[in-house]
Amino acid sequence: MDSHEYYEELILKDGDLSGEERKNLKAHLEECEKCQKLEEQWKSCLNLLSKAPMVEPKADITGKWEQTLQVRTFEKEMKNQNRQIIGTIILITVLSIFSCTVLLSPEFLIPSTIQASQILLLLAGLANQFRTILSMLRLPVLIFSLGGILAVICFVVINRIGINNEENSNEGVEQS
Amino acid sequence: MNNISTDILEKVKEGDADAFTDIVDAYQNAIYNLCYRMLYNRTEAEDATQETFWKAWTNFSKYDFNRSFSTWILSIAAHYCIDLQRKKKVPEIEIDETMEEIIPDPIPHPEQEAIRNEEEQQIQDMLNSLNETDRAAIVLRYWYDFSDREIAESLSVSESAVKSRLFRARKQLAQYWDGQTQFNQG
Repeated sequence: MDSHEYYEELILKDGDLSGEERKNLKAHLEECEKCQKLEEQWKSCLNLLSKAPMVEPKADITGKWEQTLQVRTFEKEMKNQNRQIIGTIILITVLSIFSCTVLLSPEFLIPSTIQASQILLLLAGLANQFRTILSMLRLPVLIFSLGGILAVICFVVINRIGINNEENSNEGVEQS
Repeated sequence: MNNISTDILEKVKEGDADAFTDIVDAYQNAIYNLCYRMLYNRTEAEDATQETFWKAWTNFSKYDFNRSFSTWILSIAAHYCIDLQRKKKVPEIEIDETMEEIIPDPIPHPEQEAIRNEEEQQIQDMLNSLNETDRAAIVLRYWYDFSDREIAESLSVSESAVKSRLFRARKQLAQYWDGQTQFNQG
C-alpha cells in the first residue's frame, strides 16, 4: 500500500478517526495537494448527500397495490389452472400413446392372444367337468327335488285344513 | 421507516392480504425512494415499488423472522433495481425531462426551488456515475443508515466486499464532483 492510498482511506473512512490517524492525516494534508483536493471534494459530496431528501411517490401506492394484488392473484390462479389442464392433457396423451404402442405391437399382441385363448380353454374344461358331475347325479337330484316339492304341497294343504277348522269353531262360539 | 410488529408479520405469513397492506403503507416511501435513487424515473420507480411488494408477498414464506424486515424488503427492491439496470443499461435522460421530473407542483420560492432542483440533479448525476451495486450500497448507507453488515445482507455480498465497494464508490463520487466542478467553471 503506498502512502497516498493509506491517507485516501483515512479521508474516505466512514466514522471518526482515532487521535493518531487524525494527527497523521493532518500532517500529510499540509504537504500533499492531491490528498487535500480529495478531502475537499469528498466533503462537498458528503454535504450534498446529507442534504438529499427521501423522495416520496406521487401516485397512490397502496391503492395501486390492492389492484395489483387482485389482478396478479387472478392471473396466477389462471396460470396454475392452465398448467394443471395442460399437464392432464399431456399425461393422457402420453398414456394413450404408450398403451397403443404396447397393446398393438406384434410382440405383445400374439402372446396376449395365446394367453387369452388358454384361459378360455381352461374355463371350457371346468364347465365340461361340472356338466359331467351333474349328469352323474341326475337321478338322485330328480328324486330329491320331487320329494321336496311333494313335502311342501302336503305342508300347505295340512296347514290350510287346520285354519278352516279353527274359523268354524270360532263362528259356533259367536252364534251360541 | 416504520417498524412492523411481529403480529402483522405473522398474519402475513398466514396469507392475510389486509395485514400486508399495512406493510405497504409503512414501507412505500422507503422502497419508492430506493427505487427512485436507483432508476431515476418516477414511473419506473413506482412500477419497481409494486414489483418489490409483489415479490415480498409471494416469497413471504422465505422470510426469516430473526432477520430485520427492513433489510429483507429493501434487499428485494435493491436486487430488483440492480437486475433491471443491468438488463437495460439506462439511457441518458434529457435535461428537460429530468427537470420536469424534479419540479414539484407548487413553487412558493422559485429561487430556493431552483437550487434544490440543481442539487437534486447533482446528486442523481453522481449516483448515476456509479455501477448498480455500488450505487445501491451508497443509497443504503446514506439514505437508510445501514451498517456494513446490513448492506452486505441486502446485496448478498461479504462485509469486506461492502467496505471496498463503499471506498471505491466514495472515491469515484469525489472524482466525479471534481469533474463536474471543472465542467461548470469551464
